[in-house]
Amino acid sequence: MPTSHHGEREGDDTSFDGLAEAYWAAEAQALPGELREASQALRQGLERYEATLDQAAESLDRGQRLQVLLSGTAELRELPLSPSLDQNVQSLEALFRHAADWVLRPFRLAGGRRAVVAYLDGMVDVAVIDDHLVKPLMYDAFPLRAGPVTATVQEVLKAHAIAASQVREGATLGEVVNGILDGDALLLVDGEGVGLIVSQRGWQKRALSEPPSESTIRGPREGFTETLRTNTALLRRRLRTPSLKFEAMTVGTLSRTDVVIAYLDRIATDALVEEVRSRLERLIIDSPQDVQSLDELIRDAPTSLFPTIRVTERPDAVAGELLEGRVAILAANTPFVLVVPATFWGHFQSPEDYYHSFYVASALRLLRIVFAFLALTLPATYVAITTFHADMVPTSLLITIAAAREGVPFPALLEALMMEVMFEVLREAGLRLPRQVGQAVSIVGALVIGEAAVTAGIVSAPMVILVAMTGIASFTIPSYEMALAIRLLRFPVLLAAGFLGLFGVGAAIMFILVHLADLRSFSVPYLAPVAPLRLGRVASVFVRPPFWAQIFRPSLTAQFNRQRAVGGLKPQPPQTPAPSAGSPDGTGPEGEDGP
Amino acid sequence: MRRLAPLLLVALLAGGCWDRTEVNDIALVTAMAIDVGSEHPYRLSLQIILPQLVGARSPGGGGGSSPSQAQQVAIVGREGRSLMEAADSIQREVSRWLRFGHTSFIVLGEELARRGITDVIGFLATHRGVRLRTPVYVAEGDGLAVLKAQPLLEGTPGEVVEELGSMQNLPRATVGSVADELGREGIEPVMARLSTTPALSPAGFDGGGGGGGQGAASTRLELRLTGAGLFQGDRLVDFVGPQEAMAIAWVRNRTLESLFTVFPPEGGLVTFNALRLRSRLEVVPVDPRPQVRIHLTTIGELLENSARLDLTDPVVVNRLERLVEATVAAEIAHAIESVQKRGTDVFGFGFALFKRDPRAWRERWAREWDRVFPTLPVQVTATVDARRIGLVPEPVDAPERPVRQFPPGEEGAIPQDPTQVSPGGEPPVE
Repeated sequence: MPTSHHGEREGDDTSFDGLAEAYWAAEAQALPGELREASQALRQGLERYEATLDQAAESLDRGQRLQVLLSGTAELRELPLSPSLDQNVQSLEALFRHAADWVLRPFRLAGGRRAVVAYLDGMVDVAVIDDHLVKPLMYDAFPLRAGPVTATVQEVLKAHAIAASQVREGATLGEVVNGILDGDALLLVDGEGVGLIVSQRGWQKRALSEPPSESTIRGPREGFTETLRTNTALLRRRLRTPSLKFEAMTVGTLSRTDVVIAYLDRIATDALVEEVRSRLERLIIDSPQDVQSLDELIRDAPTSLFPTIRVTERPDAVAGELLEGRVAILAANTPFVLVVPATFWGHFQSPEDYYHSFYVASALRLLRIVFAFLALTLPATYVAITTFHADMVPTSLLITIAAAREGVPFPALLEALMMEVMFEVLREAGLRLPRQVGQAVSIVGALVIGEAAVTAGIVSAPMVILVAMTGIASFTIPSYEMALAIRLLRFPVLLAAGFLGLFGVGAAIMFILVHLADLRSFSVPYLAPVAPLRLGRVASVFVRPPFWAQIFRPSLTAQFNRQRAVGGLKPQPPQTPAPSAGSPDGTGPEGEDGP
Repeated sequence: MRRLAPLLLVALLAGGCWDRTEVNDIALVTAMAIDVGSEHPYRLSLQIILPQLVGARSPGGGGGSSPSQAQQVAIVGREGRSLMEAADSIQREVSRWLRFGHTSFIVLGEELARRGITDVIGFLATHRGVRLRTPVYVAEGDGLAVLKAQPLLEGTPGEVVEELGSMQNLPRATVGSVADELGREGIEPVMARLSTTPALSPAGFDGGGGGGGQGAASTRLELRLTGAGLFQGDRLVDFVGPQEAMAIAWVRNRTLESLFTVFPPEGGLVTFNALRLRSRLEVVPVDPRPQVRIHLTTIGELLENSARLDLTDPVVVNRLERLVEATVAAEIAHAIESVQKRGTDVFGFGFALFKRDPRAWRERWAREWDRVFPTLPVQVTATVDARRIGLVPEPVDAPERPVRQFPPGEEGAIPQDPTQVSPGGEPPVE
């Protein structure tokens, strides 16, 4: 395949500049005034670009690289393409200097006009480019053989020659460069000041797989992937309505990460969508790292420990959130999706809740909330009661505890802290370890912490039980972020308990509660609907209502179209010989055709 | 956060809550006996748990090597001019802080109780660590002997007393209730009686696994809760037997369950297990002596139908209920009469009168109540509801034999003294 790979070393700057200089000088006399101005602008633009690149290199030490590079690419946006193929090629070659994946393939359109196809290797499907772009253009009858320059060359190519459905024109250097960077192929034809950007993206991507951080027993097995388009398709498949909107934007001056704001039009409030949009638009950053950086950059209460944005990798969960009027933020290159606004209680809801009977789901939801509380307070309460309020414990239990603690050299607080830290260490190590050694470490951990420490009399058995219970309790929290927050908060609560007893535990919990009540997520109170009490919705925090009772969307997020189902869907035996009043659509819970 | 930090610091430093005590540093008092000392007015004995000996901590896990139950507790005692002084001198010899919050019972020696308990109860009620709900018992004889008992089933006397106290039909007294009754007119304190008896088991029976079991068996003492001690003012005046104790408990609405046996006229007997017992006390202030009316209600089950009555027949059950009512009323009336003879108003008749007519009580009866009380006419009525008749309503031996019917129209003679109550005497050993 006669493509020419440029990249290792493509001329030095002086020779290029000299050539360009001479070329432009000659051209300045030959071409009409309008074209000359354009080429001068191009030249100035390129010079400015070169200058900024130099400046960037200089300012590396001064830490202003980001700003300069940013302005560097912004410059390109204004530069028009030249009608001269050679000029354009030179500009592109200059830009993609030292880029080993840069491919530029010159050829002739059916033996006539010169043309080039340019792309970044690995980002496009090379076979498709060859078969459907280069080949037809090279061999097949091209209707405009070496004819005079007309304005319709692009049109003819688009209409007749290029066998690809996504083709757009790019008139500026910025457009075509961004197109190439996005994984499109660029077709430039000599004598045309407009390039054709052919979308034949074909990079390696991961197949759909089960989301490892949020697995369910009964739910769908597919999770988001690192490919944005796949992710939007996963959502679209669940909400097949034109009112599902995907607003695309780019964040990151260097990474140009695609970010998509997904919402259901006329269900999510306009104010919320606008707020998300404006918070994302204000971001000027070289490259957001995953959604975590977006999360931290757009969230409310940036210093709070509690997650005010829900992070999930389950399309079904996101679809459910969209249906309740929330807004999802998808980004390229991450399987995680942000959902706003997020409430405290929302973090205790698992997608699993919607795949079980509502009795089971409600019981499990309650269990999670109770155990989340235990995960926060159990070791603290134990320390407080045994060291300050021994009279509260039933006598026989106290005797048992006393017997177990007999000979333990540390105070209960220190013992609890030690064990908790040790547990966290084990957990962290378990995450980081290669899978092959993981088992060995868990055995050592279990033996050292569980068995040996008790036998040696360094810690007491009740403490081991409590720490294990606490650890397990923290795993019941479906949201990983919430679990982390609670794990971390356990230590201050424990310290408060060790110093002040139950009073300290109470004070710490009050402190946390006040903080929680103070939080907001995209103008929704974090503890809603419990803290600004909404009696109608409180129940849904602790129980999962049956689907026939979920008639309205939560009013805090969904503004319009609050009804999601008609009433009276509860199955019951027909009163009279059944009048068939079935609603035809089973998929879209539009709520429109309700009475 | 920056504003809160100093606040938190102040809370930590100035909280005054530095009285952190590890479990390793406290000595749990599980029982307390208060007696008259030989040199000083008081002798305080405490039973303390030795946690290092509780539970099998041996890695082998076999129960054989665990110390015998009697060794899990230690008894320490000192005399003092006051109880606080005695407690303090114990504390000085014990290397851990004494904690009274888990005291499962307090037993007062008989001698001390006869001398007067106001100071003792006052100390217990005001002490920071002792709970008002701690049960108080009066010992027959020495209080310390009770602590020394080595009960068979439970680990310590504390547990036994707790269990027995919650199972039996005895008036219950706590530090709080005794303190309350001491300060109240028209009602006198009453406490269940704790005594020790030689062990139930034949010698050598309890030798389970320990090495030195042979000698211990003969000297081992079991605890008994029998009858009650009646107080006049703050002094113990007399003990009564289980019948009277049950009557007192029922009138005070403290009884759990009780057995009554009735003898239908055609022979045999039927036992009625009274389960939910309630009483209503009413004292009508009429001259020359107030009228006491006690109405007892109970719901229970009919058992042990050796009279071969057809308990599925509502008429039979109805007649049996009437029979039980008469028996209950007679027995309780008898017991009350027996208590009245002791002359101390542990039922609270006087208090009921006071509640009914405070002025009449104060002006007419309060002063001469001790004289009036033994002569009060007491009218006892009962309502019995036999809800259950047992699992097998027919006699098990011969189902085909016709079950005898209760003869219609005849109520049956009420036996005069069905159980031969012996007031104040030794309780019958079963």
